[in-house]
Amino acid sequence: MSNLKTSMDLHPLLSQKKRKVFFAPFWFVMQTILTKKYWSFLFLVVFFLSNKTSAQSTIKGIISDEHHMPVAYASVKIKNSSDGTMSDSTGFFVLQTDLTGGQMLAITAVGYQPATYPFVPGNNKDTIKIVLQSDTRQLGVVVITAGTFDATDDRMLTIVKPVDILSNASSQGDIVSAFENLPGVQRNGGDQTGLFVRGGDASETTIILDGTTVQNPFFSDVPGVGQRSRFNPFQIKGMSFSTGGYSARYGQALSSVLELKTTDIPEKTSISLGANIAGLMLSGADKMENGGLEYSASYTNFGPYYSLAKTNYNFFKKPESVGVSARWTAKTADNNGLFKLSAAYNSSGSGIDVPDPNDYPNLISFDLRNINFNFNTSFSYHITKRLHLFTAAAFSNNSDHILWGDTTFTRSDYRLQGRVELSYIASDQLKITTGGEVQHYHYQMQFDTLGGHFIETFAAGFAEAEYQPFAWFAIKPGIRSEYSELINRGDFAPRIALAVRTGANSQVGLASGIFYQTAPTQYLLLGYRPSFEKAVHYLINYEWIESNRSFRIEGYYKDYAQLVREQGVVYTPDPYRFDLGTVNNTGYGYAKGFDLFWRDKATVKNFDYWVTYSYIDTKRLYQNYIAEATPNFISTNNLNLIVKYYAEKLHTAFSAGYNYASGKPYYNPLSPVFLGDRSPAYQNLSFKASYLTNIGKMFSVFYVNFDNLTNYKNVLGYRYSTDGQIRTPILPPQYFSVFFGVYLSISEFKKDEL
Amino acid sequence: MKKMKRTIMAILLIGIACVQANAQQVSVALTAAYEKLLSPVMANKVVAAAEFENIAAKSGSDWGANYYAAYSDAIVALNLHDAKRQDAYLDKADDYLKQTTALNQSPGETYMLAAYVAFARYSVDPANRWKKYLDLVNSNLETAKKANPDNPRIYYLQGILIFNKPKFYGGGTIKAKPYFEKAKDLFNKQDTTSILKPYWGAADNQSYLDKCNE
Repeated sequence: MSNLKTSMDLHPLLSQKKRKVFFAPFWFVMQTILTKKYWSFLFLVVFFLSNKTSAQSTIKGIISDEHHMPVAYASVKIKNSSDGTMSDSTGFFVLQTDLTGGQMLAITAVGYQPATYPFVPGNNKDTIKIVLQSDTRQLGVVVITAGTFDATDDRMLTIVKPVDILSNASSQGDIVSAFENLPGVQRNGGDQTGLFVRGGDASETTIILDGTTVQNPFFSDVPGVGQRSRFNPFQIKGMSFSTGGYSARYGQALSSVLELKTTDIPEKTSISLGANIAGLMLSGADKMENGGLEYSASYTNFGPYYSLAKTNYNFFKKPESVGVSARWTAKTADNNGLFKLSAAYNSSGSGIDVPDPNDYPNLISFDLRNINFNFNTSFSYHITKRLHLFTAAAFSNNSDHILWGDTTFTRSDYRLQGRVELSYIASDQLKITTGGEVQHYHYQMQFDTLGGHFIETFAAGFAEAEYQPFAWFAIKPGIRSEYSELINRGDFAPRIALAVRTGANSQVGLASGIFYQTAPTQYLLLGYRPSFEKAVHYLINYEWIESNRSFRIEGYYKDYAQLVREQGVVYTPDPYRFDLGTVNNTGYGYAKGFDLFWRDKATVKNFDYWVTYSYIDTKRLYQNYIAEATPNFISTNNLNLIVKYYAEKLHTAFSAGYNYASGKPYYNPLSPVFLGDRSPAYQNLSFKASYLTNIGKMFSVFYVNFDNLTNYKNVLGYRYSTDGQIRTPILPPQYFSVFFGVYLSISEFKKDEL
Repeated sequence: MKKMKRTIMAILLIGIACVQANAQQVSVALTAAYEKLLSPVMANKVVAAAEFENIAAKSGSDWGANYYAAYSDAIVALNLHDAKRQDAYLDKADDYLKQTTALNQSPGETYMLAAYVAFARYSVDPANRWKKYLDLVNSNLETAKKANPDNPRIYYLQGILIFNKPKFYGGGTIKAKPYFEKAKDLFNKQDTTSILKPYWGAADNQSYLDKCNE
């Protein structure tokens, strides 16, 4: 009928001749009414109308996306006409038109590229199918990820979030050991301290906290007993873990940089109490108008924990520590800046019988007392919308007093450092960051009558550009220059990374760069001044991420050069050796392999699992090695399976982890091949359950964590007596262990909120 | 000289009249599109969002036009069930929100809208977005409250957040109700004579209140 109306509306515009033709039926009707039978009139009316309606055609269709999902509320219009409609919630549409001849449907929907569909009204009896392609503009820009795992809440799509890392059963609540579940990282059986990334030893990974290098990220080293990191997981909001090819903003790490960012202003005023089998922690946050004050105090004593399950070492003094910390965060009055200041003090001690490095398999006591102090401050400020300033400064002081048997061993260090960065957003496509850092540090060691120390002042400058000419392509070239006063040398380290989007959810990335690091402290302490060690990284990765599933594969090749090498010495696996012979930079090596990551949290509701696998082939000739060999911290194959399930009705989160690492090389003095023997494979099954509840107004979490549930008897390697006749296994501190506790938190109720 | 003055005055008056007429036209167009946005039929909301965008495109730097374009895109996103498209709408909402912020008019309402758009982002994927977007919702609400503590939409949105939070974590209908009640009081007091003084949310607030009373 609407078409009839349209026709009628047209009549004033018709020519006189046409008007006559147009009105002719009406004259006929009038005459019929007056002169003929009524039925004839009705027949004519029906005939007339049916003629009009037969000119109106219907076209039906279904609109879907490239994944066959319906596109609801898409606009469907016939080009150059006012005829149009909209698809319903199932993507179905029906459009009626009077038009005849070849026409063009135009389909538009937010989030999709516009589409057209040619048709002839009346010819389409079937439902047509229209597929819309996702609008690449809406997909979000490509992000450079080669070599980097960003665990942040700031980006919408990341492979992992901070909470994912921390809630793993096999992380034991330690932020750094949680990273061992990511590909590219060697599984630490519990005998070593630090992160071993893609063939690099622990010294090749640097940990950065709010822009400054953390001098002592772990509790003091005890021979054969791996130590936890000092970080409070609740104060970390973002983690960026580079397994290679990292930014020019950082240096002095041949393999890896783990960048941690602390939380901003506390969300609310609260007081929390944590109690577990190994200690107590009290913390609080006072939220103010434009800032916040946080504080904590803790006491830990591993006595009860070690008494629950048998330990493989004799702790004659159970590990004990006392710590206090305070943190202040404030926004600037104009809301453009954020200032953070934190200070932490910790005193710890332990006593353990460890294998005597000079007299295996006999044991020797190792009585350690450590005092550590850290002061960190950072200031981030948007000078203008396009110009951003970041400054950071830190001071740390650390001292160990050790009684090794009846010999006194002391070591101490401090580091003072500052960093300034200026970022300029030239356009939506280009961001340039430039800056510099200065670090001044001192190490001292005294073992009986043998001592050493060194003071280093190190400076670096860098510039880096992030250029994104198209949404599908990004490139990040950078250059870094460093100078060491101690060895009176500088270096020049170019870096580059790029990413190309290959599909709606996938991208390919490449990264390469040169990385330098000063020689390990044990050489510098004894007066050696070798040049920088060097590594060149080449990485390529493919990443596919949907909101709930992600896959990544990354291949790499790392070329080590200028590694420190001792010559004229007999090999000994003793890390505390003093006879280092002649030291130079003739060492070299390589690492190559690939890492896989798969995560799926879509298949089953509340169920999340990830699988990571790493393969590595690496050899090096460095330090006191007598031949090119795979180092003793390398497992060729590393596999991690993490499973998490949240049972809503039970208010309980379950997590389980299985870790597998193939055997590591160990030194057998009787073997014809240097470091040619392999320990048995490492296996660990862990389980964690966290029950969340409210006790009165207190939010409470009760948790229990079992490590090595099957009580698998892992052997991490072997030590040999000097004559090679006696072999003793290197064991983890414990096989099976259980850890449990409670966390209580009460937040201030804002009475003035309403 | 006198003639010249008269001419200038006349031009000025015509200019002012034109500007007023234009503002009037925008206001009428916004009101018409807003009525459509209130329709329970989803297709009408989509059409309304397109109309708001057209008005914004034509009026350029009009605060109201950009404000409602952002608001309607957020409304459409909240009513869709396809994350990709919801984000596409919210990308547009963010663009309009940037324009609205740059015009520096009614900062309280602009921050309120920023909170609402952030809430829509959070709603797309609460499990993965709560940390970033609830922070953004709360910080924008705080700023909006500083600008005007009597803005009913602040308490309405706070109420929704508490309403949707499990009882176990301090949410639920009992805890949310006082927020909706306070919002209702303030909604009753607000001026609804001009579309340029936003008054959205009252009906939805009432339906939440009804649910709390069930």
